[in-house]
Amino acid sequence: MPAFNILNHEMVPEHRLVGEAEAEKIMKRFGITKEQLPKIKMTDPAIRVLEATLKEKEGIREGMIVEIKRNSKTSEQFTAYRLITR
Amino acid sequence: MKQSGGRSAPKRGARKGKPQPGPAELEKYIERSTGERSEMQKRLLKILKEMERKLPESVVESVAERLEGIEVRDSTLKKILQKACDRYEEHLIDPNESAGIVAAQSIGEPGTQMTMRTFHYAGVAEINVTLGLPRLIEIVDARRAPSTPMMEVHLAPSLAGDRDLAMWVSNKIETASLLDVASLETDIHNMRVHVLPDSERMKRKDITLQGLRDVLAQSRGLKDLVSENDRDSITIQIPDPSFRVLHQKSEITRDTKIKGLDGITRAVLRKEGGEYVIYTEGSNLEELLSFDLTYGEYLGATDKARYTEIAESEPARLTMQVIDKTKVRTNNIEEIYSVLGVEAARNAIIEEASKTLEEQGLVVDIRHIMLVADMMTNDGSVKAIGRHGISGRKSSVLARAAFEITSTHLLRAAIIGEEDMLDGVAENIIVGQPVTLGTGAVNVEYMPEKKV
Repeated sequence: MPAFNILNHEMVPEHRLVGEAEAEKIMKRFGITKEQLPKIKMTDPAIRVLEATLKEKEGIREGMIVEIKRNSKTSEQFTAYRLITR
Repeated sequence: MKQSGGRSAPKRGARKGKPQPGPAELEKYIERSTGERSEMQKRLLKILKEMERKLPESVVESVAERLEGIEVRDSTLKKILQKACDRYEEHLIDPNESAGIVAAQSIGEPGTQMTMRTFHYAGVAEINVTLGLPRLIEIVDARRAPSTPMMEVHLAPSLAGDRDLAMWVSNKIETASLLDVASLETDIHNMRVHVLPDSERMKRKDITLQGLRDVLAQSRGLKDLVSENDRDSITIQIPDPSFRVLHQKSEITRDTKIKGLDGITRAVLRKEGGEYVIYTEGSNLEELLSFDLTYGEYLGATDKARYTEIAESEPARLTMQVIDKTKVRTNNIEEIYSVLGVEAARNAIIEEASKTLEEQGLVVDIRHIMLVADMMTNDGSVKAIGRHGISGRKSSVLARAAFEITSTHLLRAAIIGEEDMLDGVAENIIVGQPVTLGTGAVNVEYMPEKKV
């Protein structure tokens, strides 16, 4: 029996790793630096699952950004970003 | 900032000037869930994109709902959206508005009413749950474990109406210790511990004598001591006479967990709509999510005839999970954080806090609670609000000193030579300067033209 994928749990919003170029664009749009984003830990269960589904060679490094599509009660869908830290 | 679901502080920069709609993002918006959007919604989003303006999904949805079934030309729609955007932007919070203070007061004031109403427990499905102010404090303080942990377990949708199945599942997850199904006798003369099962209770908990024996034989410290073939009891023989060892073994036996998940002391069924939901006293999210129960197991244990019948017709059903793991809930936020991650913990804080307030008949705008949840989960872990959490981490010495344990902070700051940049509210009040909020947040600067 395969282990339960926590990303499928209804309380966990969709997480997606953002590429380098896209991250830059986002930072430009907000007019902030990466460090000003909310953080997410490398050891976070959701990040671990993301890493497991990634191809081996890439891996997840510190300083990368994840996009989180939250289901919001006020605006249905809301996109948030978090910076991966140790 | 009211447009956003989350209002984390760094997003502030985004609000300056008109919100810039990224065209690529809007396109993704339209692609992403086309199935759920109505024709009108898609049309509106398309026009919005052309106009290069942005509205939250929920607003677009309600505009679309109103327009449903009415013939409108694109130019009229454009006018409507124009108006909607204008009105929407009017309602956005102003830059440098003190969102945090407003949130604190908006939750704090209803909180005072809670104190007067209740400091006690109320029953939900025969399970005691802490409610009211104590619960709210628990959430905001980010306690490791709530005083009354509880879980809500749903069954797979196609099986949720089966009461017997629900009973079977709740029986599986509820812990039973040895004392729940048997009594113990210590025979000092022969250096033995007798386990005397209560057949009635064994039956109710769905445990066989052989099963009990296997569990005991596998538990640490009892290996090779458990008797093989007694008829209706189990004997544990101590090899070398020693009262200490006898006592120790008897204790191990007594504390042995026979079945179920650790921490779940009770499970009750409740019918909600057409489906049975299991509520548990005690919580163990991690084990529950890795706990596999298939439909086949259930039929194999109860209805052999039906098992063979289904095995022939649709064997896929037999391996189906009985518990709908995507829907498992717990009120232990720390547990959610460690099993499902920060984002889930953020959701849990919002949900638990607004549920607690709502249950007391208090109306607090969810945006305030979202702000609190965002602050608590800002650094990737769940931090409490207060001295040990967010307030204790303020960068300004004066702000920390103004909050609690004043002298300690001032003394420490003096010893290590801390600096105060005076960019917060509290520190500016202390030194008698205008605070950096509202109109105090902007400065007029004159740059004379350089003479050539």
